[in-house]
Amino acid sequence: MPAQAEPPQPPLEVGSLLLASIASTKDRVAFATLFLEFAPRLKSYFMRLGMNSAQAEELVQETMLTVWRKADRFDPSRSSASTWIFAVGRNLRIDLLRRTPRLQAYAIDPAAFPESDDASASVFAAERETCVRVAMRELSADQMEVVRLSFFEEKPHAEIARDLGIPLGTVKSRLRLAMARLRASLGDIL
Amino acid sequence: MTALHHPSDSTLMAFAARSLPPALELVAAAHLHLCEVCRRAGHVWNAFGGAYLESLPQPELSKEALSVALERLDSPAPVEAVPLMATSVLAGIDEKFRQSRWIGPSIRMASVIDDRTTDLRAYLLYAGAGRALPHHGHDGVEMTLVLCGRFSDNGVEYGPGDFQELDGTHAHSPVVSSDEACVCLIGSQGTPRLPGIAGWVVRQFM
Ligand SMILES: [Zn+2]
Repeated sequence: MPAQAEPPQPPLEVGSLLLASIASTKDRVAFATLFLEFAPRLKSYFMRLGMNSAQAEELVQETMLTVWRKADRFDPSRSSASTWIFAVGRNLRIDLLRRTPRLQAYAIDPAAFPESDDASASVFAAERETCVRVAMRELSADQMEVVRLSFFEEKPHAEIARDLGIPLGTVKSRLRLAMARLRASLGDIL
Repeated sequence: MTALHHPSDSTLMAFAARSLPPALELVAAAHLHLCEVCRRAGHVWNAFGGAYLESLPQPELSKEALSVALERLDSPAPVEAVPLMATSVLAGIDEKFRQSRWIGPSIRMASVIDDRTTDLRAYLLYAGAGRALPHHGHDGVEMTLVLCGRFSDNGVEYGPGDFQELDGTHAHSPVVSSDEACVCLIGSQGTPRLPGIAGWVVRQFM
C-alpha cells in the first residue's frame, strides 16, 4: 500500500504524554488536543456499530469524559494512548448495551482483562504496539476488511458475505488466512 | 497451573475487542485469570484496538462538541457500579455448589447466566469420577473451562485451566477421567440440539 493512502496517524508517544499531563495537572489544553484527535475516530467506531450520529456523539462525550477522569489509570508501559482510549470507549458501549434489565447481571468486569503479572516475560508496550501495526499492514486489503468487520464491528459472517457480495465460505477462508498471517508475523510476541 | 489447551487466536481477538457475547466472554475471562500465556497474548490482541481506532476516518463532530466536553469536565463522577467479575465466579464455586441442582447421578449444575431470548447460557457443572458430562450438540458455540479435576474427550485430556471450544460441528462425549470430581465453567450460545438422554436432561433442567 502506498504511503499516502494511509490515514494520518498520531505518533504513539504524543498521546501518552497528553494523558500523563491530564493525570498530573488536569491539563485542559492536553485534553482538548486529545479530544480533537480521538473524538472523531470514536464517532466513526460507534457509528459503524450501528449508532446514529447523535447517539454516537453522546457516547463520544461520555468516553472522553471518562478518559479525563481516569487518566491516572493509564499506564504507558502497558499500552499506547489509542489502545487505552479505544478500550474506554469499547467498554462504555458494552456497559450501555448490557444496562437493560434483562442483561444487567451480565456486566462482566469492564476491564475484563486481567493484567499480565509476569513483568520479566512481558514485551514492552511500545514494541507490542509497533509489531501489531506492522502485522496489520501485512494483511491484504480484503483480509483487513473482514477482520475489521468481524472483530471490531461485530458483523456476523453471513452479514459480511451479503454486504460484500461474496460467498460465506470466502468470508470464513479470508478470516482464516488473515488470522494465520497475523499469527505468523506476531509469533515472537504471542 | 499450566494450561495445555488455550482459546484460539480468533477467540482471544474477539475477547480483546469485546465482541464475544457475555456468556462466552465470562468463560474466556476466567481462562485468562488462570493462564499467563493467554494474558500475554491478550495484550497483543488488545493492541489491535488502538491500531484499528487510528485507522478510522475522522468525520465532523457537531460545532459545539469540544466546548460541551470542556464544560463537563468538572461535573462530579458517578459512583461506579460493581460488575460481575470472572474472579468472583471462580471464587464462588463452593458456594454455587450449594445452590446447584441435581441433573443426573453424581452430576449437578448451577446456572450463572441463562438468557433464553439470546440463547446464551453459562453454568458450572459438577460431575463425579467416571461420569459422562451431559454435553449436547449446539448450533452455536460452546466454550468449556476446567476448574478442577479432568475430563477426556475424543482421546484428548483436559485438566485444570484447560479451555475447549466447540463450534457445533463436532460430536463429543466427554467423560470425567480424574479420581476426584470435575468442575467446569461452560458457556454456550445457540440452540441446544437435543438428542437422547443428554437432551432430555437439558430440556428438563436448563
Ligand atoms: Zn491460555
